[in-house]
Amino acid sequence: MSALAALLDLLFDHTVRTVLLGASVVGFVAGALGSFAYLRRQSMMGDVVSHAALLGIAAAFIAASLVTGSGHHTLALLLGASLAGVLSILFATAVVKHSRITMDGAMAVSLALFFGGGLTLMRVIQTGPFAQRTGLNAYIFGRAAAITSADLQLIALFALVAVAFMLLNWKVFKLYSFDSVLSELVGFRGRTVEPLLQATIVLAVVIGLKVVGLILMIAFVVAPASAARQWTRSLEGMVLLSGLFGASAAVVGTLISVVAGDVPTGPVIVLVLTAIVAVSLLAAPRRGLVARALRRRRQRSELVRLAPEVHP
Amino acid sequence: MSFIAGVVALALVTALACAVPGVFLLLRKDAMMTEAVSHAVLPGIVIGLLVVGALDSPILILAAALTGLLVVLGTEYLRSTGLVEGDAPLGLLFPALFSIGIILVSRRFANVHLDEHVVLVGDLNLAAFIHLEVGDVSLGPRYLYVMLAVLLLNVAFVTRFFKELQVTTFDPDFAQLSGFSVRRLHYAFMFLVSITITAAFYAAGSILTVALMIVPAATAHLVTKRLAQMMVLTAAIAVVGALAGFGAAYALDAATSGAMAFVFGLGFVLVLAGSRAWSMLRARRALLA
Amino acid sequence: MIATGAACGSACEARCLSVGYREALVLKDVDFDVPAGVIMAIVGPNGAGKSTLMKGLLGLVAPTAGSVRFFGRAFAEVRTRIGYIPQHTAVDWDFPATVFDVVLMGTYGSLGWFRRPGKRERASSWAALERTALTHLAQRQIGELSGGERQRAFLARALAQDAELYFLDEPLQGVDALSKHAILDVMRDLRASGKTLVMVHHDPSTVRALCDWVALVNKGIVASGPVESTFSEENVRRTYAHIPTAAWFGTSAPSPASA
Repeated sequence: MSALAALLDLLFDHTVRTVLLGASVVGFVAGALGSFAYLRRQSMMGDVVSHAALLGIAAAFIAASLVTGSGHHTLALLLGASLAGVLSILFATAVVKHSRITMDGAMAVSLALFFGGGLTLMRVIQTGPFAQRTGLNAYIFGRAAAITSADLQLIALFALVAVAFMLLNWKVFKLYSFDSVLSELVGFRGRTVEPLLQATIVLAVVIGLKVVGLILMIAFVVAPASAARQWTRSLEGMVLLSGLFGASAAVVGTLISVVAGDVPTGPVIVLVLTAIVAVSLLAAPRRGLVARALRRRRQRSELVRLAPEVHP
Repeated sequence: MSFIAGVVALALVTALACAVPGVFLLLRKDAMMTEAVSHAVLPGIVIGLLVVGALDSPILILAAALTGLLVVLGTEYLRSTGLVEGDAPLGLLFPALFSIGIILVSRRFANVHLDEHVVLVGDLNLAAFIHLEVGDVSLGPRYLYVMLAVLLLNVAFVTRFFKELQVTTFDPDFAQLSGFSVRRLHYAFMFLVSITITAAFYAAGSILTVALMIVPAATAHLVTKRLAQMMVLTAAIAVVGALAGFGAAYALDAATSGAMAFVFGLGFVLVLAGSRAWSMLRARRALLA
Repeated sequence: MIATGAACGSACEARCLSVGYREALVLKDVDFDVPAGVIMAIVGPNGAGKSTLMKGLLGLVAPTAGSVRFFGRAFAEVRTRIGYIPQHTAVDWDFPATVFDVVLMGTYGSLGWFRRPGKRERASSWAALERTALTHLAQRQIGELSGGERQRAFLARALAQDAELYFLDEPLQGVDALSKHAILDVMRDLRASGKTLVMVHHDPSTVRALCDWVALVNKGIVASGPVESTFSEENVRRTYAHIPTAAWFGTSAPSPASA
């Protein structure tokens, strides 16, 4: 009973509540939109985007410092991150289109260019005459505890825009993810849909940076979608379930990290997500590994019955 | 050897050691596997540090490389189940392993001296700090010899198994039928990659190894039509990029590996633009002729 | 015992072979025989398991059950005597290799691990290029070739290997008329010198003209044997259950699929 009371106490703690809200919103939106990246078979693009965002953050910080005297405008930083994220995707797709490099190689080059640039700019900021630069490192490793109410408002705003975009374009995104050729034929040009879809995913990625950090953000994109795919066949079901997986992992992970104390939140959330994926892969009905092993055993014994005499 | 010369030599050898296996990683379409392995070795390194106590110990490098191999095997297993689509298997395992590493590093569990910054970009200056000295003569940073050993190992493996790597990469089915065990060679190669990444961790950090491994090979791939040519050009690009990156970092007082990654990326863009312009020019000339 | 000359012994025999991917069985309980010295076609509708049969025979897809013997022995003992030409979509055409490099790969199997190709291997590669009329393209990057030339390059690779039994996965698919003739000439030459060829074939209307042995496949072997007796209208109809097949039997009728 006292454990429950302690938990309730936690929930009424302002900081904890802010972190919980922020993390679960990020988990839901990244999970939901991660489904599209998953279905497009380009989940690792999420990794490129989260790394590339650093260049945008650093550039936005410098620009904001020059204009207003202080670089600490979260909105500017998030917009910069989104822009850099979109550019990194456009860069990778352009490389594939114009050379013999395949997508995985193009992603690696894009990551190197944008993240290398980002790190170099970060160094410029650290050695330059900029005020309030200490908060920037939170975007690299994530610092959930440092999320403020102002951050939360922006996270909510971006999340709202991303979800609204997804719902508005639902039909088009669905068709495009399922069959881009057909989508092209019926008039939804890849040239338009692709950047729109990618930009929506980018919005979901950049708001997570401060919560889990750019290195681990990929888990929020890949894991919930991979888990959800095991349980459902419809896109609607997958997106919803994926979002719920992401949000609940964020809540559980945050609570564990708060209760344990001194354990970074992002990594704990990732481990919770991994556990959800493992359970889904094993236990899902029909396609799960357990169900499959049972079926295979049945099949093999049947084959042996068919042809017993050939086997020495 | 002066301190600066030692840092430059270390940067150069690290870039070369990474670039050599990068050629095959790129051609096998395993470029992003580098990213996964480079993150997955972190828990191995932390546990190794707790047990062995030194980052440059060969035992630590081998042990951590095994953690990297875990991602390779796990990814292949997930792919073989067919349950997870596209490149998602890659993105499922390494965040989990990296998270374990970060949790281990966090204050609660250990007094491991592993700065967040080192995890990201490594620390070339730190790695080059302890020099190997015979009498009064400095023979350069001690870590240089670790990297040099890795480079030699890579070069020896790639030249010794050139034919096998070529045929298993180009046409695995045919290679299998010709009597080459594609899987065995693959795992041996990936273990070597994992060793290289772990060794480069100290000098380049966990994230930038992907740049050092893939970008030189990708740049060379744009303009070559034979494998041997591509390997030589890749090595040349690695050398030039490392020197230019070091110069840029020196001028900006930035982390060498970050600047190196950026310079490699820029080099790729320039070569791509140049080769595109060249082929367009040739096409136009052919049209006029 | 080494079986070479025409109709002397069996080049390949499979018993009770079942092949599948994961849990979906594509072929169930197949018996399959190839006599030495023939050109054999494996034909059947799309998705019938033609390529899977070939891959199952060669062990590229692990069989779920059954056994396969080549020249009366296990594959591993005779692998240098078996050549394979993959479907041309199966490789990366941007790979940095010239036509010569690809053909030279044919000699790798006999070299084994460690040994490098030397003068002899180079000579046999040049000879193979000559036979497939590709000498002038030897230094091109493979991606620069046309579909037919690519197929010939892979045929040259199989020739450089100097095998006795060749498996070809759709060698005539997407190939221009000139290359088609060059490929068929080489195949007939090989048969004349006692070699055996098994090809997955997409065009049933040309089976009679090109092959002397046939296996009709649809999720299993429908019928298999000499073309004259096996490639009957009834057997073919049973294989291609819902497809109009009459046109494939007029010997002089133009074949719609080979154009």
